[in-house]
Amino acid sequence: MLSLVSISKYFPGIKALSNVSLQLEPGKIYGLVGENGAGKSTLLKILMGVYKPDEGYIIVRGKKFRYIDNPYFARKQLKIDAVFQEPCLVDNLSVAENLYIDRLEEFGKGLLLNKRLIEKESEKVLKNIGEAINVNQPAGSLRIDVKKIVEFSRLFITNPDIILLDEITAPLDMTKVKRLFTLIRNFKESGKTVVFVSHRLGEVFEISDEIIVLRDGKVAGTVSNEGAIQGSNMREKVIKMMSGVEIGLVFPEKKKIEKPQKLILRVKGLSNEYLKGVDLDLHEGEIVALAGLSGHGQSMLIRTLAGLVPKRKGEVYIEGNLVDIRSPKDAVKNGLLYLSDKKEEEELWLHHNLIFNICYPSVKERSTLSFVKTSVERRLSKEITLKLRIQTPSLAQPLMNLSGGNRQKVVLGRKLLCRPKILLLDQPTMGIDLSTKKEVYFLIRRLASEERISILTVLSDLPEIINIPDRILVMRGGVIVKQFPAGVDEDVLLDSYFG
Amino acid sequence: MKARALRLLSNWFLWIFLLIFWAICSILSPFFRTLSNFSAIFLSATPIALVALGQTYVVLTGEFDLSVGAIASLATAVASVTMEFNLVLAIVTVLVAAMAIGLVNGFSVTKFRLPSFIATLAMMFVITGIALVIRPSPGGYISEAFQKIMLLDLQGFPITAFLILVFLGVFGELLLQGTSFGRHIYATGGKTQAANLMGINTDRIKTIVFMISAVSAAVGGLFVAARYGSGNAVAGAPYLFDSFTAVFMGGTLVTGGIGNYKNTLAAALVISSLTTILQFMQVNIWYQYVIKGLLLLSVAGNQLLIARRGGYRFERG
Repeated sequence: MLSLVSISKYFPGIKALSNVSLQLEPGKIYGLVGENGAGKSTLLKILMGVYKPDEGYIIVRGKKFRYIDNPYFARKQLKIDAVFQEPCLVDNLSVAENLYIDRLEEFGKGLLLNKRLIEKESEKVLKNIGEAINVNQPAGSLRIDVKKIVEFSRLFITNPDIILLDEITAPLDMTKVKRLFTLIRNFKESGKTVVFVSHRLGEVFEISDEIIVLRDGKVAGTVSNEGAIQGSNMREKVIKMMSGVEIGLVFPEKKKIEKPQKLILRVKGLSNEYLKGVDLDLHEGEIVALAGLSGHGQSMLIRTLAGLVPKRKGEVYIEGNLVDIRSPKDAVKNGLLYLSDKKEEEELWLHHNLIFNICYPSVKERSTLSFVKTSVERRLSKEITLKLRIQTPSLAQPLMNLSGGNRQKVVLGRKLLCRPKILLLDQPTMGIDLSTKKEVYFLIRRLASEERISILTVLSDLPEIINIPDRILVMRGGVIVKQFPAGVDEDVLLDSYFG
Repeated sequence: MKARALRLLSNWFLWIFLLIFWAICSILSPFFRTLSNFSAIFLSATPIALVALGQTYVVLTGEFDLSVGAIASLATAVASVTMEFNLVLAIVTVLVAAMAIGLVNGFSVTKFRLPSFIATLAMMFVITGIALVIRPSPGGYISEAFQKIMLLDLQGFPITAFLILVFLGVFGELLLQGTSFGRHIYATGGKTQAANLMGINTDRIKTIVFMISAVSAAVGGLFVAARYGSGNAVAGAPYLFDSFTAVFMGGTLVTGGIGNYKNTLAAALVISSLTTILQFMQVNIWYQYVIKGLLLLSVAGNQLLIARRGGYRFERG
């Protein structure tokens, strides 16, 4: 039904796609995997008419196209639709209006809109996929995972034959992913073609009929997922295709802690709009993960500790001293550094170079009378770049030339320059390619064991939760309900999410 | 119940401000309570409301139109040389010229990717120059019939001006809130990227909106021409600043996407009320500017509040 023939796409300085040819059949789910920068998003955007390929052509239902004009054309004429990685809702319009935004004319009596009808229809659509929300609220007020579900539900309105899903599970928790997968399988049953992109290989193996691996803009191989025999060697096969290298142990070894470690952070009865009395202890050099279904306070807990969300009750002690944290500035002063899960919050100055991005947030420490020694900054940046293994041809590279994974390392690097005692990481590996993820895992462990930094991190990927931290705290309803040691059984952990 | 009342309050906040303002002034000053005072207010508010209509739409899409004052001036200039031949033709010429200017503005921004600030600033200079060529010094002929219609009054009440204001208020707001075109305007200003991906031709919306702005500015200019009875190449200039003042006082975000026209209209009335009082009290013209500036500053604190609350409330009538 859909073929890509010898598609190539150039961007300044890089060949994003190189001679890619694929054939996609109806009634099948294709998992598209590859590291960051491998070309997955570019491929989908070409199919969706956002980019035009420089070489090659596309065949849709027997008709040949040199390129696809625009998303409108793709959607209306070719019946291709997509849900992208970037949030794609208009924040100041209501959910209902967002759902029907390119079809509002159909609801008009003359020039005027029949708002009630739009509401009713949207409610119907959302109810069908099991998400009952107020359709009149502005789309910008929705939580990030609900936003993705709303974007997904637009597919039921446009009813395309070819569906492209780019990293849509990133903000979602287990239950929502399961629901989504049921819906995606329904699509397959009705004969639609689904292309599913995800960094979470577990999900890809669960849902795909066939797996397409991209590496450096080329198709590195395709693997059939049908049939009962899967096993870990297929997973390794795919990973090898993605990165071209053998990936050995994915998770770092944890250090055996014999003697009791110094208590770095103690939280007692922390409460506010999102937390209902949280108690926790964090020791020096320890990695603790916050787990549970999304939206139960994990993010809010560390954001409160970081001074971004005000607390109403409770005490926080750092190294035995009571601290009052009212703003991020207070948090940093006390050695609490926060890494956000929202890209917009971690200010990346894409046009500036690495040195600026790494050093600027802590520039006050190194300045005397507002003057800063550039040689010092250069040296520090070099240290950080080496320590975190940031891949870049030079320190003078503008940040926008770096891949997503490397940018994340830069963000981590700038936190390190602020001399953290405690790192508060919110989904540090979200949306990063596999090999960088592995490096981040090892890095976190090194920071904890060698530099004695304590780490409190929110994680959502099960293998990560089980293997990275020393302790796991499961949150539900704004409180910590259970604590597990490392290596806990996956099912036991999942059970505790639901209570 | 309380939430609904609060929402109603915030939607109409500037009208409430206006009525309180009028109430206080009426109590304090016997002159304010007269028909001639309100007549002056409505007459001077009309061109502001006209120019601010298009400006509201433009700002809502995330752009700026700095050429509106010049377009109004050009309208008076063109009218003053064409009306002696044929009234209807003169009006048509002005409107067509305005549409062309709006189209050029739209293309500069959408096809040539010029920032609207720069493109319309340049247009402002060009248009002013053309207006000066047509009408180097104030004068010319404005049809008496035209003046009579525009300034028509019943027992001292400016009926045409009032009807224009009502018409603008009703249809200007209705277009924004009740039509799909209005929704597209909000989408374009709110998140252009997302709107494009969802299939809205934001370039087309912006171009249309620049054309509306130019035409409404031109009509504003025609009204000014009727009042002065002559053409003047710089008569429209003050309306540029007044249009932005009205738009921002009325709660439209500088970044676009949030706001509406009804509050802009109320703001226009506030501005003209202020000007009228100060003129009557024979306050030095300098003070008029200072007070206008202070008023804008005080209401500008709105912007942050609106943005933080998501402001959605404000764009729903």
